[in-house]
Formats: sequence, structure tokens, C-alpha cells
Amino acid sequence: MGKQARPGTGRGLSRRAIIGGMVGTAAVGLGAAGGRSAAAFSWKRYAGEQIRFIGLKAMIETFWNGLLPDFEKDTGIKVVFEDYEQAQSRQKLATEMVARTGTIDTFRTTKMQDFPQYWQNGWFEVLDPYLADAGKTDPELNLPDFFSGALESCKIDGKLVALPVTSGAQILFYRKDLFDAKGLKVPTTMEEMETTAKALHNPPSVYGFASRGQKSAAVSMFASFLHNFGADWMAGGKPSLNTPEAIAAYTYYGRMLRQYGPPGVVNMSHVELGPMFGEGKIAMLADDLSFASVFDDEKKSRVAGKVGFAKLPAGPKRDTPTIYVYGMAMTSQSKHKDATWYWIQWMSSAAVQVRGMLKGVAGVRASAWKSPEFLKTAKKDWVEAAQITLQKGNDEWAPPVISVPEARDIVGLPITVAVEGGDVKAACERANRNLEALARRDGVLR
Amino acid sequence: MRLRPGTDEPRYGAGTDLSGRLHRAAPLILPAPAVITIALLCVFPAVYTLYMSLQAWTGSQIRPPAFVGFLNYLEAFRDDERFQMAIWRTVLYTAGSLALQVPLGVALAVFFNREFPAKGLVRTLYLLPFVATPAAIALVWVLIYNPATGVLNYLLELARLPKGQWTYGASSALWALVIVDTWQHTPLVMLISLAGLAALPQDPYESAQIDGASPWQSFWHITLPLLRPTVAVAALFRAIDALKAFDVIFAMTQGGPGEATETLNIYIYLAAFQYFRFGYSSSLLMLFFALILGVCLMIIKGRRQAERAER
Repeated sequence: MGKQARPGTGRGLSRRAIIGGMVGTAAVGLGAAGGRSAAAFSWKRYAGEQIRFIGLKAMIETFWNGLLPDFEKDTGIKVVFEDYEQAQSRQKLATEMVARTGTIDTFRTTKMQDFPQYWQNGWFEVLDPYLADAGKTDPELNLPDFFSGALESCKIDGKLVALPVTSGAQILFYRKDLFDAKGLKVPTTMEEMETTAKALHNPPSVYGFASRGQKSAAVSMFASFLHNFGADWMAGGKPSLNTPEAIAAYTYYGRMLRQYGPPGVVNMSHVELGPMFGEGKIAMLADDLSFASVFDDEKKSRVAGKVGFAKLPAGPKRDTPTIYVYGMAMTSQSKHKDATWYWIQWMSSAAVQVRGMLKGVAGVRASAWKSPEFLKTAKKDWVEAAQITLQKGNDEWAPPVISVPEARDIVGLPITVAVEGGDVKAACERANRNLEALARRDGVLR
Repeated sequence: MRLRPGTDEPRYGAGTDLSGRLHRAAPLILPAPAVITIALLCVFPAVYTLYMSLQAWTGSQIRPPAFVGFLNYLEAFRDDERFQMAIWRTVLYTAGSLALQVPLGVALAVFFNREFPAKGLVRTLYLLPFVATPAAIALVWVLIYNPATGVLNYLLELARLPKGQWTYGASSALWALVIVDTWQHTPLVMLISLAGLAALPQDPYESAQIDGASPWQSFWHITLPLLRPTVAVAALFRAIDALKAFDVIFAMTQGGPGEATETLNIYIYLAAFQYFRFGYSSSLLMLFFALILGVCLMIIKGRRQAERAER
């Protein structure tokens, strides 16, 4: 309580604080525990502090880096901005957290890869108390504006540990010209997708359908199929890769790639498949929505203008395509928690997300997707496909364990076997055994 | 004037006790820096790896390492199918490489041991794969092997031969890698064999000629037996290299498709640096070390027996 910074006036704060029976810094210190008074929010409240951010070297970090002068102008908070390749970034964070350097304040993070490990190790600062403090929270933050799935994806054990900043999603890219030539409709079920792929398959000039086949890289893409067939990586705290639904999902995915995919797809990921689609060799490709900007770029793609975008078809049991939400989080060891909370709010704000959308960074706020500036340039079917996917999406793109890289290799192996036409059931049984051993080692098996 | 006793003695008298001691200790002192460096860089890590192999220690959770005795080793042999398959693949890969490279390398050496025009140039060309950068080689071969767009399948199609999946198929991937290894390392076998050929005595050939031996007979009964120790050295080098092959395999397939090319070294790398299983991967490393040592001892022993048999 008693934390009322007025925009532009340092005086307002102390005067009110005195009225509230508290003085100066004491009020700030007790703020987090205090109730909601008639607090006024000011972006300048923590001016002069400095925070340190660790990022994951991607398009969004480049975009954020360009925003730093604006953030500093708005808040007076300085940011030390570091970004590294994914694996190094996670290694750095882990090393510093274990060593308790206390100098990392904030980082970009995603649930399936990071949450169980970081949560178990106590590295997250829970954000709910900050959110409840009106004196520290932008009245325009507008929580319901976030896609509910995205917001859920930033929680663990019901606690909010990050605010969503961006999301990837798997959608279906298809060649409108090829569909039109054969009078085909965009498939809405897995069954239809198979007959459509068959109709379009004309090797070696065009392959009917492609998605990632390479063991580890394929896992996040296969996840949609697993879920749509009614299966999960783990059910009731135990691996469930040997259920009839899971085996059916692996079998379908493998059959589609083997029969209608390009030769060698079993060792291919988006790195090979993206360019092949751009060359016009693939009729339907299931991959991340961010490829749209590449496929529609005349300099990089021969199929620019001929690409359609759609939600991935529904499966026999569910219709939950895969999404992977990224959030901005705070470390529990931060020494500038309030300033960091300001950074998190600012970076996830509607205004920043609109600016991101214009640069191809997919936002996670409904208002950003509706902004006229963005809609003026965006493709209508892409917006629809992305939006509906983000709303329906399931974010469990990897098994919920701590040792995610190893788990990905384990659950990815039956994909290889399925694509090669091997014994899928045996491969699923083996994967289930291995995932169980890993979950036991991780201490997540219930 | 008489010199004081002792001063006319050369250098090692009582007065120069220190320098004398130094001189005697020189064989210990001078190599010491090298010995210490090697100890720090080789012996310490090896001993430390052994120590770690007895611990349960994973980097993805904050728990201190815990001593578990030989549990890691037990897990490797009892539960870890992936490790057992990796051993098998490593053996296959090594055997395949040796089976191709040793005969080919010796044949090339015999070929280049004769005189013919532009011999130096041609020989240099044959050595090029060996001096090229492995990672670059790998990237080029990835392009060559691509079943849809690669030049190899294109050429096979032109020649009306069946096309292959190469590194993009689980059943062919390991052999496709053996081909790359052969392309790259046969020149090494050739080089070593050439050196062996140059050092062979000429007398046996002269007497064979007088006795009317055909060129094939002198090759089979004279050159090959005399060359055997050299070939054994080449095979030893190649065996060690093939057992621990990593760069080209990792750059080309990362162990895939699935686990089709996951040799021991690749699996241990994944266990240590992707899965952060420091204790367990250390125990695998110790087993790997034992395997390499065993193969080396076998080859050396075989060579000694062969030498003894000749005498």
C-alpha cells in the first residue's frame, strides 16, 4: 500500500506515502505485501535502476533490442541486453542461477523446455502478487486481452511465472494453384488430408505432403497429430506412448511421410523442407506459421502468391494443433524485482505486440491481431489460420519432464520407425519404457 | 704458484656440488615441463572421468553428485539398449571402413610405386580428400547424398542404375558414411604403404625374377608378406580413427535417421552435452576407452605373432 507514483512528479509519491502513515523507502519495501489502495501507477517509478536480460537470439530479440531506447525513455530503467543461441543461453542461465550470482533479472522462456526444471530449482519469481498490486501494474495491462491458452502456458502449478510475449504455431501451408487445378478443397480432417495428399502426389515434380521427419526436430510438429488422435505423451503422470491412440498417431504420421513425402524425409527438418516448399516441390507442408513471410517473398520463393494458409486438419478425437508460447520471466534472485516487473509489462504490452506483428513477430494478444495497421498488410487466410490455431492450441509439444532434450530423442524415435515402415508398436513400447525410466530419473513420475 | 687442491679438477668437485647435482638431475628436470603438462592435460582428465563415472550427476537438476559405485556401468550393460546398439554400430562402421580402405590403399600404393608420366601430379590429386577439412567434406557429401536433389542419384539415374536413400535411409545410412570415410582416408593407408614399399629390399625380387616368377607371384609372395608390418600400422591408425569417428558423422546425420548412425562417440556426446548426464556419460567414456584399448592390443598382438611366425 501507499505506493502512488504520479507521472512526472516524484513529490506525489512521498506526500501520499506520508498520508498513508508511511515514509519514503519503507513504503516501497512493504509494497508487495500491502493491499490495494487507491494506487496510481507511474512508468517512471523505478527510473535509474538497471536490469539484465538474457535472451534466445532470435527474430524477437532483434526486435526487442531496437526497442530499448523507447523503454528507457518511458521508464528511465536501463537494460543490459544479452542474447545467445538457445543451448548456450540456457546453459548460462543455469550456471549463474546455480552460482547464485543474482545478476540476471529477466529472461525469455517457454514452458515445455524450461518450466519444470526452473520451477523445481526455484528460479522463477511468481508474478501473481505483482499483478495484484495496482500501484505497480499498468492499468492498461488488460490480462483478458492475452489469448487464454497463451496465458495458461505461462503458468506452472497454477502460478503465473511469465507474461506471454510471442508464440509459434503449426499451420498447414498449401499450394492454391495445385488445389485449384484439381478442384480440391482444403482438408479439414486427417482422413481428408490423406486423400488430398494422394491426389496431389506426383513425384518427382511434386510431393503430396511433408512435415518434419528428423527424430528430435519432428517432435514438436508430430505433437499436433498425437493430440488430435486423442493421445498424450503422458497421462495420469505416466508415459502413455503405447496406447492404441498414440500408435495410430505415429502410424498415420509415418505413413503420410513415407507415401507422400519427398525421399529422405526421415532425416529432414524445416531446414530442408522449407526450401523444398519454396521451390514448389511440396503441395502441403505442416510447419511453423513464421514460414509465411519466407514463402511469400518473391526473392526467396518460387511459389510466392500461390501459397494458402490453413489450420491443421482435426484428428479423429481432437482438434488442438501445437503452439509454443514464449513468456518474459523474472528470476527469484533478481535484486531489481519491481523494475523487472515493469520491463515484463512493457514488453508484453499491446502497443509493443502490435509493433512486433508488423515485423513478423506473432503476438499473443487479441488486440494485436485486430490492429488495423497490421491487418492492412497481412494476408487474410494467414491471420485466420494463425489466430484460430493460437486460440485452440495445445502447448504440450514435448513430454512434461525435466530432461527435455533426451525425452525428445526418445519420443522421436518411433517417428523414424514409422516413416521407414517398421514395427511402430514395438517402437512405441520401447519409447514408453525409456520415457518411463527417464521420468523416474527426473523424479516426475507419480 | 700452486693451485689449491681441488681447483684444478674439472667441474664436478666438492666446490661445484650444486651444478654437479643439477647435471645428474638434468634428465629429470628438462622433460619435466612437458611431463607435467601432459599429466595435467591427459592424466588428470582421465582420472577425473573415472571418478565421475562412479557418481550420479546430472546437469539439469541442482543436486550435488552422489557416489553410486558401479551403478552407471550396470545401467549401461543391463538397461541401455541404445548403448549396446551403439557398440555394435561402432564395430560395424570400423570393420567396414577397414575392409574397404586397407585393400584399396595397398592397391593404390602398389600402383603409385611404379614410374609413369605425371605421377607426382596424379598422386597429389589422390591425396586431396585426406587433407580436406572434415566438416566441409561432410556438408558436400550431404548435398551429394540427398535422394531428391543430390548428384549421386542423378548420375545413377542417367546410368539406369537403382537409386539409393544413402544417409537418408535407416538401413543404408551407416554404409553411406563408411563410403565417405573410405573416400577420405584411403589416401592415408596409401601413404603409409608407399613408405613401406620404398623401404623394401630389392634382392628377393631379383632372385624371384631369375627363378621366373610372374609379377603377380612376386607381389603375392614377396611384397605382401614384407609389407605386412606396415599395413598393420596403417590398419591400427585407421581402426582407432574409425572407432572414435565423430566430426563427419555428426555433421552429416547427427546419429540419424533415428539412431541408425549413432556410434558410441555420438551417443556419449549426446549423453554428456545434450542430456547433461555427466556421471553416466563418464562411465560410457571409460567403457569406450576400454574398447579402443582392446582393439589396439589385438592388432598389435596379431602383428607380433605374424612377425614371430616369419622368423
